[in-house]
Amino acid sequence: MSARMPKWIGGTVLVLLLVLTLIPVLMLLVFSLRDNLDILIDFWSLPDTPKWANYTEAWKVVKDSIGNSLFVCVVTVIGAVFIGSLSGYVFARHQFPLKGLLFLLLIGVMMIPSLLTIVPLYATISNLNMTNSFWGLILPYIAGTQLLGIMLTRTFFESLPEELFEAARMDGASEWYLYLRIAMPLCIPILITVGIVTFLSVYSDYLWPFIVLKQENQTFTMAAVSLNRAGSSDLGLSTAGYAIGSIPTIIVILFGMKYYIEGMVSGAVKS
Amino acid sequence: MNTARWKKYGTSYLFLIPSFAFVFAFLYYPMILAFFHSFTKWNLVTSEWIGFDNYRNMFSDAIFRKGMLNQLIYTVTDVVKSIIFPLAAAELIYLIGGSRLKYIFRTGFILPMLFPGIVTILLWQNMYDPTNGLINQVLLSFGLDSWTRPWLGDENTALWALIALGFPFISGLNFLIFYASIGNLSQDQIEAAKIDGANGWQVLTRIHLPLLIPQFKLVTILTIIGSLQDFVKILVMTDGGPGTATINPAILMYKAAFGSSEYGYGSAIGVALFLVILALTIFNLKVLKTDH
Amino acid sequence: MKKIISLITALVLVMTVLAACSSNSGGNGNSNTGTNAGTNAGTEGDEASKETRTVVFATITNYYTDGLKQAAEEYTKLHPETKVTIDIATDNSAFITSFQAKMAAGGKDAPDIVHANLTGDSPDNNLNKGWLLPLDEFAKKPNPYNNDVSIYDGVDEKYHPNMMTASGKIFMLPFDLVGTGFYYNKKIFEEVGITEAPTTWEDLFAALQKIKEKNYIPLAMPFNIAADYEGWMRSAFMDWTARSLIPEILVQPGDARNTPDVEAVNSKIKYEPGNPMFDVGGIIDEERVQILAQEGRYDNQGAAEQKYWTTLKELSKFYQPGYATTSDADLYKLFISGKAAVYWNGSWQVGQLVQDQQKLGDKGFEWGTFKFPTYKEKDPNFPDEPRGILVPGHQLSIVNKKDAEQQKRTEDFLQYLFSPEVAQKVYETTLAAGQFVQGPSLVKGVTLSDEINAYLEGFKVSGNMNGSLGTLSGGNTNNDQTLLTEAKALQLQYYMDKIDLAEFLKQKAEFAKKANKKFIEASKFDLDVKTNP
Repeated sequence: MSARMPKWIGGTVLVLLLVLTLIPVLMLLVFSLRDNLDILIDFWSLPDTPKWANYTEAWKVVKDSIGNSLFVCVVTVIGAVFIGSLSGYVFARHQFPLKGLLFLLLIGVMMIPSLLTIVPLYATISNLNMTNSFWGLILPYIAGTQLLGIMLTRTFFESLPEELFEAARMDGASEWYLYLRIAMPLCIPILITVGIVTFLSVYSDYLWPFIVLKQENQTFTMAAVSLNRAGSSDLGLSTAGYAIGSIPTIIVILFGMKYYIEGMVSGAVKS
Repeated sequence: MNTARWKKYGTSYLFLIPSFAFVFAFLYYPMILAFFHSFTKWNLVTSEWIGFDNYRNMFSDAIFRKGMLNQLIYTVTDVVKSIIFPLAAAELIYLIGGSRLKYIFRTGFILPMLFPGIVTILLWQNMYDPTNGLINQVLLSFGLDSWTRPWLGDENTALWALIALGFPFISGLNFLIFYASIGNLSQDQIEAAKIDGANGWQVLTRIHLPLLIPQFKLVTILTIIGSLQDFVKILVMTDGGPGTATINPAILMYKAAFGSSEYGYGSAIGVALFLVILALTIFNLKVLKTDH
Repeated sequence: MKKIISLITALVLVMTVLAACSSNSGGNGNSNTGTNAGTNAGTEGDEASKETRTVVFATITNYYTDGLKQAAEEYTKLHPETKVTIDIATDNSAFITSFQAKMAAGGKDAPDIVHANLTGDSPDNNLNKGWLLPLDEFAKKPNPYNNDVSIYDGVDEKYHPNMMTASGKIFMLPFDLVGTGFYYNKKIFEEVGITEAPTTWEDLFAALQKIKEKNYIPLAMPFNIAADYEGWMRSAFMDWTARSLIPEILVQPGDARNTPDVEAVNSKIKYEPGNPMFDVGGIIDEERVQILAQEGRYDNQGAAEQKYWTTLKELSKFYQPGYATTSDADLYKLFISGKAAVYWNGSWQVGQLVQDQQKLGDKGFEWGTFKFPTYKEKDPNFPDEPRGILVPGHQLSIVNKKDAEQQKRTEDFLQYLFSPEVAQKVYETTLAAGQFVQGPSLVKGVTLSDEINAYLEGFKVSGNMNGSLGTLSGGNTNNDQTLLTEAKALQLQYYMDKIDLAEFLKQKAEFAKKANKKFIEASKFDLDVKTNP
């Protein structure tokens, strides 16, 4: 290893990694402008003439579903980030009996293959009369996604210097104040990360909404999957659907990243 | 409990109540049901207590043992992949600097999270395709005809073809975790080291890596959980084949439950997976304990 | 104190959300098909029969989509109090998971009519679990939409046995037939100088060899467990060699599973060489199949086994590279793009091929179908002709929703659908919409156009093979996924020259014993046909 790696080597590697990472996205966009039969016959070629009809046809099917998905995602993210970070804060900054056990009791749930819980969970939702209701998605989603939030925020809250909290406690600040006014603002990047990841995982989930909701209340992924209507899969049409559905998520990401960076700056200030 | 102790610990427990309320309401019942039914023959309607039979059958099944062995390879490689590549990308972004460039790269690496993974799977299916796949075509054009093979249909290469799927393995979440924490590292220490004449590599190995241990642990745990439960990719690419070359316990669990209606047996595999993940997590948390 | 208040606020927030959802849910659901399920079971009154209900018809992919939708609309015109919705499953595995979850939760949100292949369990298990209704009484009821001819009598009687579970109860109504055959690219065949479709294994191998030399993929074969259509060939071979044993596995007088209806059909069945129709309508007893397997009357390492496994292994030399893991969708891709010359698949692809070839125009190719071949030289182990593979495709079952009124409405729609006029219209509307049908209709009186019939030629067979005989060779895996994986791995070892034929047959015989043992235990058979578990 040379003493100092020239910047251009790092730059080249980085560009290469980025291009390779983005190839699937580019392929998706290319497919969305091709005819399905055309893709079947020659996977790698570019379209002779872009088939914009894929977009108009896909739009008809997915347009109503995007709002449903956004509602479910936003409510889930608010709930999961709040509840998850609250527990993450306690596990990071407090000492109390049974802490280790309680932590395992929570994150242990993540370790159960979700496939096994689908059938009994549906029975629970059915007993609560939440089938074909968005709450039948949101509440289990909060229960499940908060766990990642707990793990992530715990790790980050732990890295904050104790003096910050000591000083505030001396001034008589409540725990609630410490959590909301000291810990949270310093961990904006990780909260944004948790929010983005939660948002995307909920937005892209297919199986659970498919089971809980009827078609008239369908989420975006349900609509996108239903675009595969040619007997087998219709790649052209469904990728156009996915491209349309990614517009709100791109906005969320760009918006989120802005605060992500602001948080990073304030995070740097504290140290 | 006396008031002093309440005062001391009460808030801690109180803050945890929302998390537990949700988990109690929606996740513990299905979990307990799965545990219970792993000792029964269960088709969702009738169940018959059979003690440890499911577990005995599982461990005496050569296919399950083969699946465990494959899983070991999947998991170890998954952990390596999920740390090295996202970390390298995050470090390199800091290395090149420039806020505009940083923004472009950062956004670029998380962009694939917005699109369904099935496109990636299709892409790789067509890379490995024996007839007109990209890999064989490239080999042919270099005159390496003898190197071409049906990558997914050959039992010597199928497992490794699945492991290589998704190169360069930069998942948005892991990338964000590393990127956020490198940004949060104390700059004073790094500047001090640089003044002492440490080069970039030394800053990375002596300062960054030790400080990132909590993030390594986190990513490792998350990867292990994901790895042991992952079956969709394998199901689509090879269905566990050729023969049993790429099979794993999660596929066997899926097929037992939803293919053969043997939910009891499926639950037993699920419980076994749970215990393995739990053991690895505790090991990860205890053995790699960091003091701060 | 302050912190306690804020905490309580947080808790109240959570509780409000929780409470809100349970009260909101009723208002959120638009259709109330399920609200009366269970509570109203058994109460039939004027009120129930006037109230508006929705019947949900769930089926696979897009077969008959437009035809079924139109039938549903016209039915509602006749019966405004019943609305029928057609629910198309685009993702079968997700549908199965969903169906199982809904049934396990009591079934109130499950569909009313379901394609029997979308339940994820065997027909008998579905009846035993109370998820599907036994249809014996309903199927034989006079159908007012068909001059009081029952659905049972209104469909082709050759396929009556297919309507029954292993223990002899009717679990589905068959709407059409599907078969397996070879599709071939006439352009490639001409290129290598072959003008006639092969009819014997010898000719087939010669043709495939010529095609291979021209660097085409000779044969696209669905081989992996998810779509193991090679298995249809194995069954055809078994039916060809062991057909004479069929009378011994039929339900017989004195058996616990015998009924006057069964006896009326079975007593007429005698094996006659040269008559491929001898066993039409015969009802098989799976316990007798197991007894026969144990007696070892069929040697599953004998000359017949050696011959057909050698044939299959030779055939496998022409499969697409990497055949062990190629998916069915990839195989269609190979054939439609002109890379593979021959494609072994089901008649359900006819519609898709017609449609895609029209789209391709000049870039497309002429194609045809041909049947499972015979041997050039008569082999004493393979007497007669091979029989074809035609089985009911669109299999409709009624979901047990424990609601008499709902069941009545569902049954009435099915009777409407199985009248020849409506069934004919379903076919015509579907084809006119550029969608596809799966194969010939089983409803008597429905006819297809000459064009479609011509393409189905390779699937038309005399007589229908018996699928139960495969148990004698490879055991009854009862769709157990682990056993299927094991069997496939073993077969692959033989194809890949890891083990020789003798070793393969030996291990397969051991496997068959193991699989049958498991099946006997699962079915609670005592191998005494006088008792019925």
